[in-house]
Amino acid sequence: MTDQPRAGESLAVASKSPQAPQEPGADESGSVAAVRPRRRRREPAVWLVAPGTFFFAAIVGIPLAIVVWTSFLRIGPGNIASWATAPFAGLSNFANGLTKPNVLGVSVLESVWISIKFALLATLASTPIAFFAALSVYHRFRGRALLRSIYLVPYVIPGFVIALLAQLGFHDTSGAVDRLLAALHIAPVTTFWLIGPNAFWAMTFTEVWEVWPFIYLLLLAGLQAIPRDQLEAATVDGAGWWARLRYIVIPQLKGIYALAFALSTLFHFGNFTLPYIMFGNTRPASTVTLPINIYYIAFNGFDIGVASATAVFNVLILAVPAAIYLWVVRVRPARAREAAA
Amino acid sequence: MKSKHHSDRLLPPLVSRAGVTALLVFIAVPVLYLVDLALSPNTTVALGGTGVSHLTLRNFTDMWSSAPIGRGLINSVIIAGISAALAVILGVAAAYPLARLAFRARKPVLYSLLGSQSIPGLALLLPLYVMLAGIQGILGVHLIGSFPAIIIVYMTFGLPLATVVCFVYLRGLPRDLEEAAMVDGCTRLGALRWVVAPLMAPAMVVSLVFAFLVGWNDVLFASALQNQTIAVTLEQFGLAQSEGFGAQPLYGDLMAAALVSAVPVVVLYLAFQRYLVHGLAAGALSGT
Repeated sequence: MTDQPRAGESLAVASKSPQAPQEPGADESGSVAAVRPRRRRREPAVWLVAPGTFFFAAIVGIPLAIVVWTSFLRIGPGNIASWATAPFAGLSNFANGLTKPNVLGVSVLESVWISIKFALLATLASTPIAFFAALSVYHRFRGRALLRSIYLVPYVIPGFVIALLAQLGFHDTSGAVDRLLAALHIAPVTTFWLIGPNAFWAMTFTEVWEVWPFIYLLLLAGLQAIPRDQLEAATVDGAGWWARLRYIVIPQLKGIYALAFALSTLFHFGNFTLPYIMFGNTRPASTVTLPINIYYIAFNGFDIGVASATAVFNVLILAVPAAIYLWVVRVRPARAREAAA
Repeated sequence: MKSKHHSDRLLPPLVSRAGVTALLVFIAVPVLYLVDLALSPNTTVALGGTGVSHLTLRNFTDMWSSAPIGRGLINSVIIAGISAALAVILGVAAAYPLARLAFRARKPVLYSLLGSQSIPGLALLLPLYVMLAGIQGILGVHLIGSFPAIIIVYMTFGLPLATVVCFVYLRGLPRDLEEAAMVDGCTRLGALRWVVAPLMAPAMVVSLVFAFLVGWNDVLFASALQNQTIAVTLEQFGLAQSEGFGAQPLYGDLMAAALVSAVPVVVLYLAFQRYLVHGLAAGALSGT
């Protein structure tokens, strides 16, 4: 296809040594470079990647390096200004910081558990909704485009708006949830959702409502990639809807679902806005997710060393779904693409 | 005839109809609740009244003086708008060599862009704050709370997706046009500017919208770096109401303002929906 790097262009990397493209792995198409009449020593267009890389390094790379460094330093409220010369703390920020309760009474390890539960439950609960939604707008019918738009509405409302709405909706006595539950005689109108253990479920429900369309979008994209003639052929052969789902659709959606699962769990795990705004002034222990905990360690306790260690810990935990994600979308060797094309 | 009609259905009609109805109720109830609260007097909202008997537009006129909503909206439009435009320009520029040229840094750059989605914002916030404070001290310029600082931060956060979306789109564009232009004497940069860039409009729209949403929806960085965006304004407004101190909470105004800050985003999204859905899927799925 068109994404194969071209021979002449491959010389862009060869400014130091004309032999470079021939090295295995440097560029697969380098061996044809010799037959290209126009040999260029350097392709200036490569430098177009530089500005973006510069800002990425400055705003993401350097801070990441700093946070790893400060995670090994003893930085508290007393020496924030002179953090660069703070004493070395070894691994004590990790050893003590992760089990010590923060100002909200929740330790980092407890927060990790809350965040894992929150992220996995939100992803798992979103899955059947998303799967059904994707299936329901696959076939052609009048109003399909409208329905697809409506499905996206929760996802496109800003998170801070949904968090504010959830705060009012889950308010005891006056909120819609309590009044609905009381009207249905399920729970008393004074049930508390913004404090205590219930708060976790209120938060998780809100997250599911807000973010299920993300999985839906990916599943729909996956569905549309299944060749329609496969389904039509199956129908002609007498396969019912269940057989088509079971033997054609579900097997081919597995890969994209793995991707949706990893990305969705990553996003839920990192959601700061929802717990931060929804529980603005109550802040129940059951909703102190890892991002909230780091925020409090850093900006209430000014325990920068421990906050950095926790942030590093957070990066390490997320490396697992991130690795799955990168593996699923892995950079394929150009040769394989060539063979496929 | 009937079987032909049903051939592309993946669900039996009855299941489909019942499920879609339930899903529509699930989606609509909170949205209608938001609209109802925004149209209800503050006292009614505080007491938990809902319904259509008392609807009023007063919140939409009162809210501007209850909190600095206008300033928040203007700040957010400027910050999110400029950062998104810059992210798209840098994203297109970076996507071009990544898609068309072979160079040593290609794979590391692509992996970093994709992998950066897993970096928690809080891991970057602390050192960024310290860095900005340090630069501020050395150069004697005001950075924390300034527009340029937060714009560069949001631009950078919008950059990975913008680059990946443009990269995926660019791979799908044939090379023939730009090669023809180069044979005719156009430089590669000229070909990018005059031939490739105009063809990339759909990918640029997708990138622009996503990058805009980064800045519009963020609470963490704006509040820590002391920028009064609409998200921060509403967060503080909401907190002040729930802390109360005996005063009448202005929840009606709050919900009206929340609705006003959601509508532009929802309209933006739905207007470009066709491109966006494709772009998002491409961004997440990019086999590079």
